[in-house]
Amino acid sequence: MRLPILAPFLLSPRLALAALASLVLLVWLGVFLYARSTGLPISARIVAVDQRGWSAPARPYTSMRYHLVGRPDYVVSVRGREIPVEAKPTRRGPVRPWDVVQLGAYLLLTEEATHQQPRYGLLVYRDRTYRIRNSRRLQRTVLQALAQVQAARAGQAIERYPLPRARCATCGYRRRCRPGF
Amino acid sequence: MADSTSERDEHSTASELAAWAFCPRAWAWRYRDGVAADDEQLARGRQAHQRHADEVFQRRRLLRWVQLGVLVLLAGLALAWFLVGR
Repeated sequence: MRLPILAPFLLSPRLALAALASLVLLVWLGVFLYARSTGLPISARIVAVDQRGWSAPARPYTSMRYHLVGRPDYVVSVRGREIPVEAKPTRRGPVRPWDVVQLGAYLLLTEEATHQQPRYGLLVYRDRTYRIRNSRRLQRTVLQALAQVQAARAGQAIERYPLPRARCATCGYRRRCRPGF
Repeated sequence: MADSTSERDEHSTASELAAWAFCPRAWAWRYRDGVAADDEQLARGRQAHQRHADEVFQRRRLLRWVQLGVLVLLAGLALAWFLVGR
């Protein structure tokens, strides 16, 4: 019953070879998409990773200038430039502003460690990867947050900052912070 | 993901800034008062990060082997194509 389907291939070996080549390429495409679905660009080389069990362990980036330290989840090399990657594998879009602040801090640290300004950083969510531009505005936001944290550490009252109530539902401190939540 | 505690003695950490941007009170609980957040939530986060790293490296390794196999197969098919034509 299957012979009529296979007949053209049997009659023309070159047709059979072309079909086989297409099949091989299709398998490659499938595996390529499977590897790319982790969110990290395939063409980028992974320079460092902040997880156990894999080569290229991450070293913390330290900035004496900003009194800031951090270790991105991944650092990838794209055309000779190191790009920090922050992974939030349980989170789906849209982009959360606090994740952008964290990535912004890594962008500052990467720039100071490598003496090259990364043009962007990658924020990997479960459903997609966002390319966050390393803009002056982002740098200002990060430095502002840093100044506020340092002031709060020095004893400045935090009650002056409004409580973002919409975020309480996902906060790990909700039961302590607001009893009876 | 998380920046270690010893590093934040003198410096602020990137994850600390994220906590601040999320909510200054959550930051105070965790970084000023040293109160641990919901352990289950933390453990889930850590596991998810480890799983993600495992997937990234395993899938990249698989892709490398498949690419090698595809190259060998295509070379074989090209040779067969040439031989069939003779």
